[in-house]
Amino acid sequence: MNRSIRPYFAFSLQSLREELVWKERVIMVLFFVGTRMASQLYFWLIVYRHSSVIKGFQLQDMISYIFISTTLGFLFSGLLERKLADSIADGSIAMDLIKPVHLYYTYFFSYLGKVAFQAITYIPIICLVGVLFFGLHGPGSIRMWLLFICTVVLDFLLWHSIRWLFSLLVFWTGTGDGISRVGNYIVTFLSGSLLPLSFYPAGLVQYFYYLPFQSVIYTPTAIFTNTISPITASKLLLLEAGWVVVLYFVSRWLWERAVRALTVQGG
Amino acid sequence: MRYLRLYGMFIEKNLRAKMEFLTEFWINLFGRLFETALAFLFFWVTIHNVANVGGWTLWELGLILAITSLVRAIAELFFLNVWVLPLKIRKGDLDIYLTKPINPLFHLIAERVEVQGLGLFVSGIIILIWSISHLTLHVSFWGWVYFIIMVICGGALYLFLLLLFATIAFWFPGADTYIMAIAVSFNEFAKYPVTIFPKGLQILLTWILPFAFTGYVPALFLLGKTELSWIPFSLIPITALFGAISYLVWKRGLRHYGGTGT
Repeated sequence: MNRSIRPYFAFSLQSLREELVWKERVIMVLFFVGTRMASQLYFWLIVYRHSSVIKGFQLQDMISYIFISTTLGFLFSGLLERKLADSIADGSIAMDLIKPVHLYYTYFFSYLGKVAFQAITYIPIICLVGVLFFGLHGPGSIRMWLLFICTVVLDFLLWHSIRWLFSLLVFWTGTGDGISRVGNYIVTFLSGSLLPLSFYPAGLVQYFYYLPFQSVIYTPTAIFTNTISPITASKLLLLEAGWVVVLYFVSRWLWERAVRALTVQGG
Repeated sequence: MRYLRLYGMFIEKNLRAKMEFLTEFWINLFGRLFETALAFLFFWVTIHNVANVGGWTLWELGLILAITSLVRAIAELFFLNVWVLPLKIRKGDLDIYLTKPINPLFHLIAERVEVQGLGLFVSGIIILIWSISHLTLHVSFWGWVYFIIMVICGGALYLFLLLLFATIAFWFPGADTYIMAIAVSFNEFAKYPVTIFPKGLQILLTWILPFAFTGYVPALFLLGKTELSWIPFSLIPITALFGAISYLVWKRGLRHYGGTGT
């Protein structure tokens, strides 16, 4: 086990190093995350001027919600689809396929490297700003903190599976731009990063629980902002773990199908 | 004239390449429709849950959103290649444009036509008509004509602002995709009424990086809400000014690009 995994860490390190090349990117990224949050924050500030509680969310809950959902969305962002799509379009995937490593794990570990880099560099700064200026205080108890950490770790696995599944569609469509865009919109809508899920009409939201997307943003954010009870949190965590397992097998299965569907043009 | 003919040729070449990937074309088209729909859904759901959004109704917010979609559609349909400028700078791919006997900026932006922008355009039109049908507007015929001019001008202004952001990559090549992402998140501000932001930000979005003119100001003009009636009319000189500034910065950047020799 140990020996079979070790070569893959080279991919993690590689993608970590790629991130380190451009120093000015750090400021750009922080600025980007900041402007992203700012427009939403100001919008809700105006809304809360006329109502103190909306669907169980007070202003502070909403601020924390925006903070955490944006941060998570950024932490797990990556250009996996684009990379895979490009390698299919220019045929370099053929070279990747004959290497003695499994492409699924190659992508998994280079994604791990990127996320690890983002977690070490940006997240502490973003969290510090959140705590100092936006009254971010995190889960109320040690139990909720543990649940939160578990859900974030599972979230990483889940994000990877969902992105991987969207990327595999590239094998059939040929290019990746549209797929990654549509994938993002679907996740935005169904995961709760557009709005807390409780804001949607109840008749609609009940179906969301049969989909994996709500585990991606809504579960960790709801735990962090204390808007659900520990019992509900544990249930949601179990559901998330279930989705991680299911999607892992689905992505392995679809990968086998996709490789068979692959045609590389030219040579 | 020669440039117009060249542009036609670029479009033709591009459409042919696009037709190679028909599935991708449809996915992109519907993706763009979906994008505007999501932004509208955000306002719709919010308004149904709260008492008041700073005195703005759903249809007024929809009007602003529709205009930003149309403005972006115009810029993206014809000139989307500005997007990849930072990437081309980093990779040193700009050399190709410099060796051709035509204006390199023209070559760059005319090279790609993004038909998917149509999705943005169609969704913008739908929401615009939908919103207008719920609002009572007092706009004369010439008012509508000027509104159309404003939207087209807004498209040009948006393009110039994107170009201005993209040229930053001449000096900071590592910025590539993020610099455009920042430009887009500034455009997020344009989807809301500018008055909900603090004074400093309002001034920034109106007079320094005038993203407000790509959504909020044309909407104000239709709604007749503005106290300063000259503001909508400053769009044309502002567009011209930013056209000139972005072109000058591009020129300077090109000199810098040659200097580093990638």
